[in-house]
Amino acid sequence: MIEIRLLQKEDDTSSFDCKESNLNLFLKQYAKQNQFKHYIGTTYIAIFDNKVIGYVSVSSSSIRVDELGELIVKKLPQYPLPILRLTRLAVDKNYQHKGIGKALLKWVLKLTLKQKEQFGCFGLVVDAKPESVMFYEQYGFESFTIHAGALDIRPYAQTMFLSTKTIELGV
Amino acid sequence: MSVQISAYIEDDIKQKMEVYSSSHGLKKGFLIQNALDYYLNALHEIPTSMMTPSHISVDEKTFEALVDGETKANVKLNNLLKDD
Repeated sequence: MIEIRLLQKEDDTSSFDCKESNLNLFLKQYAKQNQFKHYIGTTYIAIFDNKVIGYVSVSSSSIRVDELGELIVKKLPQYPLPILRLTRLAVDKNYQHKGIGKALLKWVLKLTLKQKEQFGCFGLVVDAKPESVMFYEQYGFESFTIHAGALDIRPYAQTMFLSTKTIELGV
Repeated sequence: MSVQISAYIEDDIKQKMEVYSSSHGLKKGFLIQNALDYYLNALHEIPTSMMTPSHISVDEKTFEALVDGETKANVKLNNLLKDD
């Protein structure tokens, strides 16, 4: 049985290997720092047989428009829209293609609804690796272009969006 | 030795800086220098590739598309969320 829960300080992440060094490095070296020291992001882990077999990292963020033109200024919100941002999702190489990524995404979709209830949340933004774009597209995520606020990773992540309203309708 | 720099920053950050500067009696140059110093030191602890920017900026056309976009959930999303 797979359990998904919040990363704890004492969790052993040393054996995790998803075949991507940046994603491995994040979990092993920075996920706990971000969560317990700097409070800038949270990581949820998938556990099987007392082993971390997948993780997903999120942080709260916002989307805003650079400058509103006069034509549409009246009909658009003139304040940043609060969002949940899924920045990293990875599954251990021995557990890939078994639905762990799907389970982690489902966890974050439900987290988006919880955030909406507690603090307000307009939608879920995902920073998808080029090879993961189709994974998110199948659930209705749409790609969009950003001017600033991209993750500083290579290859560049594709920013994708799914509104909270859509997630609510899916439940 | 001090040198002068010039940079474009977003309006709300400028306003926050001005409010803080006037309410604490601090010069803007002092604030900017310290903020940069803190930020660059923080990067030694967490490289930029591991950090998530606090906000995303888009143009108004994209913003409009996000606000007025399709809200209907597709079958796959339905199945994923109902599959408990």
